[in-house]
Amino acid sequence: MKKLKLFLFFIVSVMTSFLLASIAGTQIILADIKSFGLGVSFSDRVSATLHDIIGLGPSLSIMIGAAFLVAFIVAALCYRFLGGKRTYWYLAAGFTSIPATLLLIKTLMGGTLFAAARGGLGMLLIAICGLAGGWVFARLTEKRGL
Amino acid sequence: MTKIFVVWLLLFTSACAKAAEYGIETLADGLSHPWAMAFLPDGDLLVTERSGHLRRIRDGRLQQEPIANLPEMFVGGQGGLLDIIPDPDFEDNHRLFISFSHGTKSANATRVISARLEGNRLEDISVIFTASPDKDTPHHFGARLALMPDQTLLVTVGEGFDFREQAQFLDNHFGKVIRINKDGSVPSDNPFTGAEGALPEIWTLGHRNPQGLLISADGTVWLHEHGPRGGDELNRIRPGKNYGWPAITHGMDYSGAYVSPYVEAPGMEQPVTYWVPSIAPAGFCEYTADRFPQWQGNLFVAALAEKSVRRLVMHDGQVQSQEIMFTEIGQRIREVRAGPDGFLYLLTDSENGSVLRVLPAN
Repeated sequence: MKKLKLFLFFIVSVMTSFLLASIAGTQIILADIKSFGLGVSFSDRVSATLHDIIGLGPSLSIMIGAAFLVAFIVAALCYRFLGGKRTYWYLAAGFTSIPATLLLIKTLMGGTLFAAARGGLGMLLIAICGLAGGWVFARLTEKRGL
Repeated sequence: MTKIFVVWLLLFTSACAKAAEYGIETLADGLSHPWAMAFLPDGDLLVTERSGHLRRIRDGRLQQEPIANLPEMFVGGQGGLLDIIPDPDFEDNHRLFISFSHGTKSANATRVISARLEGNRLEDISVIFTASPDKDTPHHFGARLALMPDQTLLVTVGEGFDFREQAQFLDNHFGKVIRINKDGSVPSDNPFTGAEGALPEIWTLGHRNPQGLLISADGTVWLHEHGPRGGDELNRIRPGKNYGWPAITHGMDYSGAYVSPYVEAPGMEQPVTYWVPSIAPAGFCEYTADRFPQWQGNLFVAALAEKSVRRLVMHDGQVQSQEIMFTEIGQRIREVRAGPDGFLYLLTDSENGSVLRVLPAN
């Protein structure tokens, strides 16, 4: 039961970051489109955002899941052996894990998988989405003593 | 029952006719990712290998020794030795134009040189174009070359994968078709000459990764470019026009997200045709010879992902119909060219790539 709960909280944290990253990513791409002189209506913005949540689902959520799995294990080990405030370790894990994974993919494949993260601002926003996922995981697991 | 038999008979006879239309023979194999071919007036055929070697086929045999004295180049990802075309006056000046990726993994760009082929060496090499700025990705070099009837040289430059937005801006070479003179100078009648902040050698903008460029017998400039997931395009190229990438596209990003939710916009050109899903067009030619009279005036597009060649039947500048050909080869097709002998030549893309010749069956 404890393991199942842990797994569910992990999924919730991944989905939190995925949804935030997907929404932020669409707005970054639409800002680029606007910079070319195209008008982006509110309804186009909403439909593009929904489209990307569905379209990005398989690739981005798996990538975030893989990133969080490694990062949260490292955070748990750090808290256990180094001490400090538990939440901070998970915040750090969430914040750094997605940019680190994207950079690793770029090193291996020569390109950025998630287009919105190609620039510095995009990468920072994605890192903040990861931070939110880390916070959610830390809070959910802390309250229940997992 | 009778109907089924008639349909079967029609399909069978159609298949027999196609089977009898051509034969395919291997001219050379063991080539490392061959990318482009150049037919020389003396009957030799030059073949670039992306791994950085320029090979010669003479009297139907691949020569063991590669052409010597090629410049240093960046070989990695989609980069390496890429396109090659001979000068129309090659018989007199032995001049070749060659494109390749230059630089390092962290700072590379599409480069074009002009060089004389003397025996088995390149001599008198001069750099006539280097795309700017450098990029840190090994993808999307473009690098196709074509000489215009006015003797200016067109060069395609890809948008480098991670720099797609730059294809919409005129202060860089990403996602552009470039027009220069054969000595690298810029023609004074280029469309953006004198425009503030624009690089004067730019001829068109808004391309992704154009790996097909040809000037047809009637002088039309055709270009095809890779889309991402879908959205490969065939475009009719006119100077000063914007072909839309990444503002408008029929393709999706590899991640599954939109590149853009729009497929058209004011001031941006529509493709003559597009392919969804991607066929990955990698090179093309117009067939004007008479070995295959039924193919005259058709465009042939090599397709990597589809492992085929698309035969495009053209009418009034539009694609009237398409035929998927040569799938029986079962290989990624990198390039298709009509030889001076009227046969069709194909390059297969693999570590053990081949030069294939398509002949009439009879």
